[in-house]
Amino acid sequence: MSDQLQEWIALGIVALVFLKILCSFFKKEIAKPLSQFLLKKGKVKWAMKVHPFSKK
Amino acid sequence: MSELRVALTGFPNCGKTSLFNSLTGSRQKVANYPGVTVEKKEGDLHLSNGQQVKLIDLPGTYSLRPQSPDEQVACDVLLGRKDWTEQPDLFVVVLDATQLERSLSYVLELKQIEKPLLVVLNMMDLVEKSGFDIDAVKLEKELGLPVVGAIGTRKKGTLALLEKIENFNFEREWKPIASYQDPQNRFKEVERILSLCQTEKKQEVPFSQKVDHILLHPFFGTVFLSLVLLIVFQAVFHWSEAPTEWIEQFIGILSQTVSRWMPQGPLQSLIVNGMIEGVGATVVFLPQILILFFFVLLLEATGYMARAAFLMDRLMGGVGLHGRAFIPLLSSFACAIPGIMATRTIENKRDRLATILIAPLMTCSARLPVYALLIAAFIPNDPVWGPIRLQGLVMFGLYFAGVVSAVAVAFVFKKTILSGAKPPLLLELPDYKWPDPKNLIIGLYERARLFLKRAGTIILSLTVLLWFFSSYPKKPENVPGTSIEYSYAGRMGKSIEPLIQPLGFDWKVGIALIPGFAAREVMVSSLATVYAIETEHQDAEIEVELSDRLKSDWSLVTALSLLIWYIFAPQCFSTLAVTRRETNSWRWPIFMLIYLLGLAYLASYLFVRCATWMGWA
Repeated sequence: MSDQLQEWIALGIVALVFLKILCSFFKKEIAKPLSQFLLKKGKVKWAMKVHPFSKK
Repeated sequence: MSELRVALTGFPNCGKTSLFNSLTGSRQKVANYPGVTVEKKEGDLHLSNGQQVKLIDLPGTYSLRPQSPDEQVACDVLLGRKDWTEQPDLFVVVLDATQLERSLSYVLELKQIEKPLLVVLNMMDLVEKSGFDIDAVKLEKELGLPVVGAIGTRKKGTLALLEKIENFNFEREWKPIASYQDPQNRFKEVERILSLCQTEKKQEVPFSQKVDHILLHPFFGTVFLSLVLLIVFQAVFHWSEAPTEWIEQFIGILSQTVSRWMPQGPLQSLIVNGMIEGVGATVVFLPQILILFFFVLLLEATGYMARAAFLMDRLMGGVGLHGRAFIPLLSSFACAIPGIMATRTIENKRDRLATILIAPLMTCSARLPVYALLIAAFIPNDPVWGPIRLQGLVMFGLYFAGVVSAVAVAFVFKKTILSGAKPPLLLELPDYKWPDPKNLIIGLYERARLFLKRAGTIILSLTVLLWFFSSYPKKPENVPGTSIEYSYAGRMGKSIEPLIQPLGFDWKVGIALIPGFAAREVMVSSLATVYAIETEHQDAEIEVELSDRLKSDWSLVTALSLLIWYIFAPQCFSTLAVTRRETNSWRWPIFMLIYLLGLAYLASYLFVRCATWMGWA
């Protein structure tokens, strides 16, 4: 395996991990609190849009 | 067929969660002290007729007048106060069958809410052992409610309970009895019912009370508690030696195999220096964490933890803390997050806040890998007295320092920003019980699963990112210094070096401290990655352990200063997030972050100054 190919694969793994961290940050810190706030306000449809797993 | 919602309610520590676990197959935490469940939990099950049931486990409450936030959660569901909470169709009232004198009054109180009720007499095995008998059929007639006997921990009576739920008459009309509104009338009614349904209890002193004469003695009890803690920390080091070595050997073989199999290059460096070295450096502490939790779970299951809370009340009361703060603080030894949530059992808001603020000072399991790494590297394992060795003693000292600093900080808070009178401690002391081996194994399995999940998610992700920041940009040939010094992480470490140099830390410690703010144990994997990348161009055949690398690079003062830093430093985002949730404001988590960082910096700085002055450094 050439050095350059190794580098591309390694950087691809780093990019994937970075994306995953961003997604989980969005879910935990933005979508979940926002959907809970909307649920409390009774705007269930909006809450479902922000966080599809939130239940009434 | 629509889903049936069934809620379990009852006094704290009557075995609701054990029953919940038996019925749903869940693994919610159970322990032999009141206040383990502080928020409602849901699980699913099916009846034999195919009816789907949503089972809700509510926190324990002594009445429908909540005294603390956890009781508030239960009462909100019972009284249908929150409009977004779906009302249960049936309430199953779980009673400790050995304590009907106290808990039957709660059933009578619940009859006032005009909801379908079903009574479970839990812990029926203890009734038999205590030498009295309960006539469940007569009790059913006197209460006018279906009654089932059960032993939640052994899954006994669960089938009968499911049958009762299946055949429950939901069409029945529930009318309140006016006289039950007066507590005195309820107690009179309980006396009347028990005289008909329960045989006389033996008047001899129970076993638990006999044992408590010694274990709750102000002097002998405290000596016993200290001995127990000392044994635990000695065991954490001694019992873990062999399994830790096996894991180390496995990681070494894995690392060498990948190095031989893959040609040298960035991908090999990411896998070996980043993933295997980084995650492996944390995973080797799994045996120590499991040994610590084995003892914690054992003490919780026997009922000794509530005694420890009682013994500590004198110390807690001395600094103005509520005795109930002991259980949340004790939970914080595992992790500050459940500890902070467990403060819901404290009624007074100021006492609750004080407990939340000091919870991160208790030594959580995430600190254990850092402590164990530095102690193993810098403290000799010399015998001190009998089987007690220096490494175990230093570990005990670090845990003790956490407790002492928490008490000191609580004293300051209670005298200043959170001043208020100290309420008396009302704590239910559960009977001593033999621990259930199944629960013990499940508890240990859950702990191992959580730790390995963290290693495979947060720690692995941060290690991969740290590898990138420590490897890029690549150092040109004509630039002096090592490649890591030239990298983003190296530059970041160098930029904060002037700030941390007074604490005895260099830029490499600085690199590891930054990701360590996400979770404490990431510090260990970060150090492993940083040192692995720094030495990657050296002889790859020589496998050097992280502790040996640190020993050759750091002074004893640096290691001790880092240990002191870790007693105080608020290196855990999740703790700050849960503090925000529990206090419903950003003010307190920000205050927590600032005061803990300040304390960590001050303590490490003073230590290094003293060490320099005494000529150690």
